[in-house]
Amino acid sequence: MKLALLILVASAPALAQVRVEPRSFVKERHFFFSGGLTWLDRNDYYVSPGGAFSAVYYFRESDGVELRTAFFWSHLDGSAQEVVSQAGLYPDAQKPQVLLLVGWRHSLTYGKVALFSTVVHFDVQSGVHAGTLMTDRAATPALAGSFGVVAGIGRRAFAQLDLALLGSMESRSERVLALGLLPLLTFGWSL
Amino acid sequence: MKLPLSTFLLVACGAVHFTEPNPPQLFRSVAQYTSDAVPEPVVWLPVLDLFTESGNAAACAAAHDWTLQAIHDAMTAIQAPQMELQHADLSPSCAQAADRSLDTNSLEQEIRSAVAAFPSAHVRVVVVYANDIALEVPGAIVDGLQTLRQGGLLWTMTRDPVSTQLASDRTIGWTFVSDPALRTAIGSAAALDLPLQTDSIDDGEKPILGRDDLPRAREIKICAASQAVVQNAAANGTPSPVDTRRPPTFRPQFTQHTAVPKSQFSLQHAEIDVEGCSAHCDRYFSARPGDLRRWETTAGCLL
Repeated sequence: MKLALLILVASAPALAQVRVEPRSFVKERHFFFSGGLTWLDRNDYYVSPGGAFSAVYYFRESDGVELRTAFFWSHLDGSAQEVVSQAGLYPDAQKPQVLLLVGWRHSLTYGKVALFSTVVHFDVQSGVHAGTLMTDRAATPALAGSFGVVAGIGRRAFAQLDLALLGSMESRSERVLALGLLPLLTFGWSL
Repeated sequence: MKLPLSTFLLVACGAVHFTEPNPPQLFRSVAQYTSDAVPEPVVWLPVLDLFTESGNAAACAAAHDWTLQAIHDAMTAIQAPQMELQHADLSPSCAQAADRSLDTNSLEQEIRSAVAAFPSAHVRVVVVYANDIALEVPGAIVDGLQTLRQGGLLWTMTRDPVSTQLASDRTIGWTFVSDPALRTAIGSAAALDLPLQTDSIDDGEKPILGRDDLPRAREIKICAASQAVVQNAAANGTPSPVDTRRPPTFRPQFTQHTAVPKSQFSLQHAEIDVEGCSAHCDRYFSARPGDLRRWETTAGCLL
């Protein structure tokens, strides 16, 4: 069964009021626009917080295409800045600036949870994206795989939390596959 | 062998090294000097000690003539100033008398005259001793030849045991009079060793840096120096500042070789391998990722 029902019981009275209700978080043939915050952690001596934007069109209830972009305000971390100030040396990692990805989101399961006095409807989703990570030196090819949750907030609003593993081919002292974790939290509106 | 995934990720994925944004601008060059060779005059002294069957004067004369001519032809084929000294004949009648001897006094005088004839050259007379009999020669002859050999060379056209007995500088095995192979052998020996060679060495100061490198070099390191003395720079691989008014130089340090047989002679080379720095000399140089060394404080060359 594709759609599983997940019920968390927040209180004893809630357990007593279990009932089946129709799907309220409908995505098919809808656009989902959202914006929020992200953080790229590549263990590259750069601290890379950023802002993220996502646009998804679900051509099926369980599948959608996504355009995702992120802008990073990267700067060297404390230890790297100390090396720079004392020895004048810089890490050979490139400074992330902009991430542009296009990909596919797929709903693995649908559920809802009773949370205090409200019921939250959500999708557990996976995604695969490809694109480019633009740095201070080059536009590098990038590939990402993600896992996350999209939860409805009211009728149109929603929140999207993804954790992506991002890989990009980068020319440092040698050409390397730079891997990083990319959590994204965005809030948006569906049309 | 399977590597753990964590090891793979650490090594292959995203390794970060610190790098120098302004690395030292280095260049490498080699300064060389090669000695020249000067050919010396070919001066030779034939010493005949031939034997023929008793009483055969014609054969004796023919043997003398042929031997002298073979030696003459071999020597005159060499492209160099030449002088043939009056030959000595230990057995005019080809009898090889037991009491025969060399008149070393007159021959030495002849040699001195030849040396004087080439005042600017280094003359070593080639004494060519020809003996067609396989019998040891008397001690007086051996002594005489060794006396003449001093300061010169002794070649023998002999058979064993004479060749061994005289331990000459070059041995041509005797076969028989009129043998074309014997004539060829003496010619080949002459072509191989003559003219004798002398080093021509200019031991003046020579620049280590070329015209293009000198203006741009701020500091240099001597990476290696062979057969040379370095001046105005440290020769131990530490950096030295370059002063264009007193540029780094070297002098060749050769052993002078005089009148050496051509087969044993070789030109001598002095070589200075230098690494220069034209900018950012106090900064870090990296030959491979993660290996950073300050050029100025690292002994030895890094390129």
